[in-house]
Amino acid sequence: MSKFYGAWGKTALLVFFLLAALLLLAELAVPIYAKFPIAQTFGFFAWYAFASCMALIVLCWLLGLIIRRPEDYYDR
Amino acid sequence: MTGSVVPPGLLLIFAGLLLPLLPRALGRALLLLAPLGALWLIWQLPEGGSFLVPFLGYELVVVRADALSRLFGTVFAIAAFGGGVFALNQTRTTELACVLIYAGSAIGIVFAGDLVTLLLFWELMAIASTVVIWCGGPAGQKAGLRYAAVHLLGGVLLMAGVAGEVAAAGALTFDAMQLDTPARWLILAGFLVNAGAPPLSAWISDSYPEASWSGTVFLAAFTTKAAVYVLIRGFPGAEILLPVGMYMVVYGIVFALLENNVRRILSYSIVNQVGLMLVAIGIGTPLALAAASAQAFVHVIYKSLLMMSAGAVLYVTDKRDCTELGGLFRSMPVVTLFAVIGALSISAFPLTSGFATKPMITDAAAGQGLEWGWLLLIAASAGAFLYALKFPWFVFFNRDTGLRAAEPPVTMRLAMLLFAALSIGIGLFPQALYGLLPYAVDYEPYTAGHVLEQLQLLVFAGLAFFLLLPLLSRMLLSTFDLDWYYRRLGPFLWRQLLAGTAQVWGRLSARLYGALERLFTTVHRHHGPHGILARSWPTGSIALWLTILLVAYLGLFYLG
Repeated sequence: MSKFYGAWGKTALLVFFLLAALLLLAELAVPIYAKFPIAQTFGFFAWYAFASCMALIVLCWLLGLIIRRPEDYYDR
Repeated sequence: MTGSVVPPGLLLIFAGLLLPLLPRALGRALLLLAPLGALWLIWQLPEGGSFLVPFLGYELVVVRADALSRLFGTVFAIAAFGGGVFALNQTRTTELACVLIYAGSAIGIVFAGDLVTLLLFWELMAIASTVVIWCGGPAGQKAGLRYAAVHLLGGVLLMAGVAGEVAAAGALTFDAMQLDTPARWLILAGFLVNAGAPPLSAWISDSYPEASWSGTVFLAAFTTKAAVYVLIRGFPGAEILLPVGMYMVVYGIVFALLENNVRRILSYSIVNQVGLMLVAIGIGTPLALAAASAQAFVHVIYKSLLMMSAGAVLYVTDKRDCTELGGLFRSMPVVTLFAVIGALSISAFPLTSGFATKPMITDAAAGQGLEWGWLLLIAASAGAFLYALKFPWFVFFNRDTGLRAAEPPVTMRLAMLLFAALSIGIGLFPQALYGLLPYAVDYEPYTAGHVLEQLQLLVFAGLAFFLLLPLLSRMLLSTFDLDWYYRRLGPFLWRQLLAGTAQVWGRLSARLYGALERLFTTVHRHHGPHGILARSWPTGSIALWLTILLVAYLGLFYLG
C-alpha cells in the first residue's frame, strides 16, 4: 500500500484531512445559501463532493478493468 | 464595398503565408507581431457588419463585430500571441506558419457575418490544424489523417446544411436559428463534430497528444472554442445541447481519470470543459450564455497554460506518460508552480479565473430549477478536480523517479508566466471580464458562502483523491474508446468486404468462363472446320438430292 503513497502522499493526505475538518467547522460561522432542499443539509458540498468522488474513482477503476487496452494495440 | 476595415483573421492568415519566406529572426518576430496586430484591429472594428463582398448575387459579410465576437476574437489573439512566445524555440517553420493560419481562420470564424464566410474559414481551419498535427512526427502523421477525416466529415455536414439553409431561406445571414429544418440539424451536427460531441468525441484525445510540444498548445485553444462560439451564436437554448453536454462532462472526467499520457489527460479535460459550456448554451438564459462565453474565455487561457506545462515537460524530458514521470518539482519548480496555477484555475479554485465563471454555470442551472442537472454539475465540478490534481501530482510529485531535468528556455517560461498572470488576474478582478461579456452580468463570486462551498467541494474531492491514491495509481492506462470503430472495426470490415468481393468475383467469373467455353465448343462442333454445317459434300450426293426433289415436285404436280 505505502509504495503508492511515495514520498509525499501521506503528507498530502494529512493536509487534506486537516483542511477538510477546518472547512466543516467554518460552516458553523458562515451559512451557505442553496436553492434545493438536499443542498441545505449541513456540509452538503463537503459530503456530496466526497461521496461522488469516491464513487467516481471506484466506478472508473471497474470500468478500467474492462476497457483497458495494450498501449501498442493500434500499432500492431 | 470593403471600406477601410482590415479583417483581423485575414491579417493573421497572410502573415502565416508570408512567414516561411522570411529569414528566421524576421519570421519569429512576425509570429509575435501578427497576433498583436490582430488584437489591435479587433478593437478598432466598427460595430456591425463591414468588409462586404459580393458573391453569386449575395453579399458576404466578412466582418461582423459585436461584444460576443470581440470577446472570442480577443482571447484567440491572446492565445496566438502567448502560444507564439512559447513556440519561439520550435524549429519547424511549417508548424509556425500553419499556427498563424489556424489562429487567423479561428478569428475569421468568430467575425464571420454569414454562413459562406463561416464555411470557408471553417475548412481552412481544418486544413491548417491538420498540418499542425502532422508536424508532430510519425505518430502525428497517422493521427493527423484520422483528424482530417473526422473534420472533413464535419465540413461536409456543415456545407450540406448551409446549402439547404440558403436554398430554403434565401439568405446567408448567420444568426440564432430554430432547429426546425433538416438543413439546420445538419449545421448543428457540423458544429458539434468540432466541439467533440458524441459519438465522435475521441478525435480530440486521439490527435492532440500526437502534435509537437508547441503544436498542442494551439490545438487546445482554437477548434473546440470556435465551435462553442458558433453554438452560442447559432443555437442558444437548443435543448439537445443539455444531454449532449452532460455526456461530454462525464465522458471527459472518466477517461481523463483512466489515462496515462499526460497530454491525453488534458485533451479529455477539454471535452469535459466544452461539455460544460454546451450545457450552459442549452440552458440558454442570458446569464447562462454569458457564463458559457466567459467560461470559454478563461478556458482558452488556463488550458493553454496546462498544455504549455505538459509541453515543457515533454520538451525537457521527452517523456509523455505519468508512469515515466514523477518528482520533477525539485528540478522544475517554476513549471510546477505554473502547472498548479493552471490546475487550480480549471478546478475553479477561489482567486483563480475558473472561480469567476464556472459557478455561474451551476447557478444558471439552479436558476432554471434543473435540480438533477445541478446535482450532476456539482458532482462534475468535484470530479474535475480529481483529474486536475492528477496531472501535477503524478508528473511533479508522487515519487522520485531519479529523473533530473532543467527548467525549459526562458521564452517558454515567459509564455507560461503571461497566462498564469492572466488566470490569477481574472480571478482577482472578475468584473474586468464581466464587462466584456455579451450580456450584462449581475454576479458576485466572492461572497463568503460561495467561497466556502467551493473550498469544501474541492478539499473533500482532494481528500477522496489521496484516500484512493493506490487505486488511482493503478488507473494509469490506455483505454478503448469509440474511435475503435473507425480505427479497427471499420478497416477490418473493409478488408473483409474486399476479400469477400474478390472471392465472389472469382467464382462468378469461373462460371462465366465455363459457360462461354461450353458455348464456343458447341458452336465449334457445328460450324467449325469439321462441323456438320461446314463440311464439303460430294457432288454425287447433291445430284441425288436434286433428283429426289424433282421427282417429288413432279408427283405433287400430277396429284394437284
